[in-house]
Amino acid sequence: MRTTRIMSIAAAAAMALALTACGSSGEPAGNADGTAPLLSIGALLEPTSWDPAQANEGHLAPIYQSLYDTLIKREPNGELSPMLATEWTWSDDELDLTLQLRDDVTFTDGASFDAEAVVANIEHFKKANGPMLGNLSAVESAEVADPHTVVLHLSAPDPDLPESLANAGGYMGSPAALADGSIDTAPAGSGPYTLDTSASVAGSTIAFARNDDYWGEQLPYDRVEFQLLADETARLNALTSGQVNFTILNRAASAVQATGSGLNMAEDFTVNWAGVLFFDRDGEIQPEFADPRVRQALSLAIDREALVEVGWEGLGEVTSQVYGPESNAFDEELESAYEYDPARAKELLEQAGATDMTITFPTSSTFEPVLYDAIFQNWKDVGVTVKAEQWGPGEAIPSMMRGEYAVSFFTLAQRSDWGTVKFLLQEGSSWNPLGSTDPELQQLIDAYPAASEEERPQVAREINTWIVENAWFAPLARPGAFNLWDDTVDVEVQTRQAVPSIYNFTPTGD
Amino acid sequence: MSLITTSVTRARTRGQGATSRLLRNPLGVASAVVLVLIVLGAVAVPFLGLPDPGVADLREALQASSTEHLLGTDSSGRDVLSRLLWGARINLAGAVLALMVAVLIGLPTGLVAGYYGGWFDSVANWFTNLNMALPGIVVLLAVRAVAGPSVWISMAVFGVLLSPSVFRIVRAAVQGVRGELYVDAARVSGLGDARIIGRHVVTVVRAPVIIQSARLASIAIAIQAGLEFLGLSDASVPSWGSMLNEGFRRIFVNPSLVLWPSLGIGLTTMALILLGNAMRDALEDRGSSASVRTGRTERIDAADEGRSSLLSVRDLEVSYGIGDAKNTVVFDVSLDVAPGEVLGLVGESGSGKSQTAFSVLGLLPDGGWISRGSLRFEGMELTTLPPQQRRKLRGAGIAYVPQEPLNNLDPSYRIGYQLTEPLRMAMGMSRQAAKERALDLLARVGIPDPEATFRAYPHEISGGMAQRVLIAGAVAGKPKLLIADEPTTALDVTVQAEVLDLLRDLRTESGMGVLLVTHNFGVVADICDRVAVMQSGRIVETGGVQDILECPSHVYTRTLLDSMLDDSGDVRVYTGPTEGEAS
Amino acid sequence: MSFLVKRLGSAVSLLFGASIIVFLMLSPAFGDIAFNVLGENATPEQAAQLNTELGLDQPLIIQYTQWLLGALTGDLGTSLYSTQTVSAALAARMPVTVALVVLVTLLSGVLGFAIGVAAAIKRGWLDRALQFIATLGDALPAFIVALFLVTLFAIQLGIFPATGYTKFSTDPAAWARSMTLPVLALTVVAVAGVAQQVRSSMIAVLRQDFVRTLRSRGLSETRVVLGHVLRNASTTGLTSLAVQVVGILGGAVVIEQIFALPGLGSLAVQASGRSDVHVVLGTVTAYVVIVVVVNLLVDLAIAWLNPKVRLS
Repeated sequence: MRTTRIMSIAAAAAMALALTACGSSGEPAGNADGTAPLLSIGALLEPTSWDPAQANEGHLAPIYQSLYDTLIKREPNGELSPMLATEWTWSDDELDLTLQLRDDVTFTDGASFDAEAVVANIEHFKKANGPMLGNLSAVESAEVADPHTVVLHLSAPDPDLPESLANAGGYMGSPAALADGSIDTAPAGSGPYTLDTSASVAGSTIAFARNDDYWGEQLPYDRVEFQLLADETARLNALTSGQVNFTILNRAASAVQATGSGLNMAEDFTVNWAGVLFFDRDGEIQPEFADPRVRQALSLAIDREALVEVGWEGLGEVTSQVYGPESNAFDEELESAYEYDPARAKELLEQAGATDMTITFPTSSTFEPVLYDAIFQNWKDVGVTVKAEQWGPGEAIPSMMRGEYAVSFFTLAQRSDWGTVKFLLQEGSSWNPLGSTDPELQQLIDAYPAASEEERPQVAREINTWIVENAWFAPLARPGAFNLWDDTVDVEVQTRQAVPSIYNFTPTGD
Repeated sequence: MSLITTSVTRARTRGQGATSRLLRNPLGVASAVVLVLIVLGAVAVPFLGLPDPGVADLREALQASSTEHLLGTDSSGRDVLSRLLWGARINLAGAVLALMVAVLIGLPTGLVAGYYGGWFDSVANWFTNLNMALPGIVVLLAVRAVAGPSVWISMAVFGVLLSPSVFRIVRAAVQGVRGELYVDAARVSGLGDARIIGRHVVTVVRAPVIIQSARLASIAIAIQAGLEFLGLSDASVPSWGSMLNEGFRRIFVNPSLVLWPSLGIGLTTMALILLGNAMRDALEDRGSSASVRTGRTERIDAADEGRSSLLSVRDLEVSYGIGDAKNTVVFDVSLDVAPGEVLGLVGESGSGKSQTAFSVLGLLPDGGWISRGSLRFEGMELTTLPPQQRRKLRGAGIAYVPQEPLNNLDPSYRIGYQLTEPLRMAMGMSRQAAKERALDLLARVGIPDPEATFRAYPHEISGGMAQRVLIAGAVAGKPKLLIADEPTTALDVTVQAEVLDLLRDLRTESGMGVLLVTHNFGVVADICDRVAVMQSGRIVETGGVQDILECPSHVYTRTLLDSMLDDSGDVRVYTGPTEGEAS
Repeated sequence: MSFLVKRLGSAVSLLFGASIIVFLMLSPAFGDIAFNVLGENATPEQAAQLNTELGLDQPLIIQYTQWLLGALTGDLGTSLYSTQTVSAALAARMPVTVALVVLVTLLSGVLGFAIGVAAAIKRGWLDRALQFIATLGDALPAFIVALFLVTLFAIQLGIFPATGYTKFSTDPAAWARSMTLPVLALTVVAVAGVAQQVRSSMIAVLRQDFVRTLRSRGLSETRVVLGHVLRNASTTGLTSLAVQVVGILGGAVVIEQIFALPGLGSLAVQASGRSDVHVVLGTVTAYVVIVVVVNLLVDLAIAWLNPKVRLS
């Protein structure tokens, strides 16, 4: 049995710096000198439940992190470091993951954290049908090896499992509160903060107070408040007026306005890729899409430079791949694989015999209308007729998931090498609603988990190259993720997470 | 985004005058022109050779106005003018659709509910209220979710939401005429309901529906643009609301993008409302802000000889309006009332007798003025007296008893308040003193339970009682001259006699002069000392009551006397107060 | 008393009808709810399972009956997208909308009456000018006025915040600043209707006989106009104000969006956008209650002003 001892795994799944020395240095990079009374964050979403199994990633991460610790921690740059688990090791066949647990942690309701608690959490998570259920889909069972060691048994290798345990799949709640269901409304975790119900107003403010008995290093803020501001301009105003110290904006125009009024913004920080998703690669709805040349032509026809300029006020990077620069699969050369070339696009369409194509394209009012206008115009320029159909509020995701359209425009998170495969490329992936598959691609996908740690980056790049060449998607840009904050706080952005983790804020003393 | 609108006051069609009145209203003409231009633009846009409204060119985005793009380009580099005009097509067509649905539903249901009433009326009313209680925008959001972003479906549903306002107007108009004689007559003559509705009722309903339609179209345009603005309708079709939506996203970067669609929406809705108002004014012939301008009185040189010490009128001329619009209704009236004397001013309605009386009071209706002559009260020239001084004369010097007793009491206040208010305000009495005096007066004019009447509201007492209250109010200030305008006409015979007795007694007690305006020679014979007969604004004969009744010299006086004797049973039966003009 | 009972009865029957309609209208979108609750990471199987858990696969009649039984006992349910109960959501949103509506109603009432009275008495050019301005207000949709105000006062002059809301309890001055433009935008529109109505009923009352009689008693013009004519004209003015309130509520939906005010309107838009059916039903209930209360208040005021109504 081969045991690979991994101290720190890059979030993507093995960056080149895979093996480094084990260290307990992975505590938050907190400012040891100063604490501050209050951190106020303008948030987009509120949790649907305090049950950690119902947690979601992204915008909600810092809210859940305040209450619940994860088994493994993600550092701002994506590296994994110990948290509730001090070590995690794979079996040779990568079907068992053994975690060593801390023995000095208790939950806020007094229950103690141990292997039993982890098993209870994992079992609860798999039953609870939460939004991130996919995090632990490969985990078949959890077993107590000794009071502070737990073994997760997998049905198939899942290279991303440690990352999942550093995300929603790893939040640990009190087993007592899970058992009696009280955790829905009364959170009980081991996190750095506790919910201050008297200061919280559902739908408006979530207030956290410091957990004085926190096992780890205290975070610098005595209190943290999340103000729920679903409206973009409301968040912008709250930040400008000092009502919140940090927030995230969606529209480039408001980000320009915010930086213009002296607020700080993370430069060149991107989390998502925006582009066209060709769902119908088998041509079930749009027969022409079965021909890769058609998809390539449509990708070549789009003027990405101009799009970033008008769609995101220039705040974004042009790209042709769905993988982000911090992943192993990323290939600098693929960035410009589909440079604007309408002549070549026309040629390809002619070769494919798709000179008289009508595409039904769904639009959503979430995105700037100019983005759609630009894409449609570019396609019209190469002789394609576009029929736009508009989704109502809340219809976009259900409609795509049900496979109602052959193609759409969307922005999606850039994921790890394996995460992208699970999320976008497998036959049963939720973002492959029409179940497209290809023997060549399948071979590469199968090869990835089977490959050794060292070989995987190469396989990932091959997968990336294949989907770029076959134009499964027409990625257009990595738009900026507009993290903005005032001068009272220092913020370290969190790789692959729209907003920083709760550990990434430090007071400047201003 | 009101789904309900202020109800359009009932308008009646009045022949072909309406069109010319509409054409004389500058605002009406201007809005009609604006609307026609917008409609023309929307219809003609395919032939204007403008750039395709859908052609985006990102490298041409946000250009300023140029010969190529008259109004510049939007954030996708599309021609703003072209989008504006193509947008007008969508927005106008949407409004027309909503309007048609609203009228198709509201008109027939309103006709039936108004004409037949009964259960259909109740059910229709409940639906109307339900429709009004539902937040329209929520319904439209739900419709959007179910039926997709189609403008046409949204606007058809919005038409349903608008239908109650058509329904209510039609129903009210129909109820208004249902009881009228000509409809009854039609029914008696055996006309079927359908024909009555078609022939008589629809004509009544037509004008208000047309006026309301302008309003509803304006609301429909606003709502449609609102939905588009919220991003709920098809963004791929150029429309004013979607242009606003795009502009609003960049309002900090480029505020001018919201300007053009705002103008389009604003101008159209405004023109519709103004046109609707102009049509209403034309059809109702309200002459909206009627001329209220008056001129200066032309002085005359009248000899002091023979003028009474109490009231003396010489060469009185009363006119309405000035300049070309001047219309004179009273000519060269001269009369005198001595202290203790009762002068009867007799004539048919429209003879100018009331106008003469109001001139003395200084209370001519709006636009009326004394264009010539002299009015003297106790030696004072009234025509040159400042308004403030004139007001002080009223109540204490000259008092007034009106014709219709119940219309002349303020329905909102108790009798007591109405009697004591002038005593306290104009004569400076204390509250207690005023009350005592009012109770004395009520007793004096023969009211059996003064305390109860003092506390009563006008609608709680009879016409005869009300007239006594008014007389009490008139004499409260111990006036020197009482002007009584047909004080008994609205009362039944027995009460008439009592009221005349009361006036006679009061005259005797206080020695006040009385100018009694009447058309009734019976009253004249009963109470007057002297008589002046008026015809068409002129006094035709003046003399002692005996002389005039026995040997009238003027032919008109004779005719009047004859006609009175012909229907000697001439007593006007009091039929209850007529309602004031309701709006 | 029976007056109140009747009012209550009609309100309840309206609520019942409205809730059924809302429920039926939203029901086709119930299938999307689970996808939206779970987000982009979930699979269709997960969505189907959540649908079952939420009872969204039950027959509509059962779902509606369950809601109705809850509502009758005062439990309006819970949002499908948060831990918040509908009552709590309404309690949080109500103050914003009610403050907006009350301020606009008061302001447009005072201004509308003042303008209407002035126009009715002065007539002539003042009347025409006021009429024209009132017509503009009447004709322009509130959101166009709002955009104009935002551009002028927030963007060009920077006097007021363009959007956003500060709670009164947090900072009354900031609250006032955040409410100024929304209140103004709605008032401009509402004031027009009230002024028109007051003007025409003032003119109608001024033509009535009792006004001449009052003048003949030597009362000052101010007393005649303000004490008597206005009082009689105010019943129609108030009725029109009540009608305006319904319009203000509708206008507030868009205004709250533009100014990012966390009121009932933005809640209704958000909730109907994602078919959060209990929340939508809750907001409809709140709207009906507001409309009923306003009409009740106006009826009471009219009864107080008009003795005929009071006694019959």
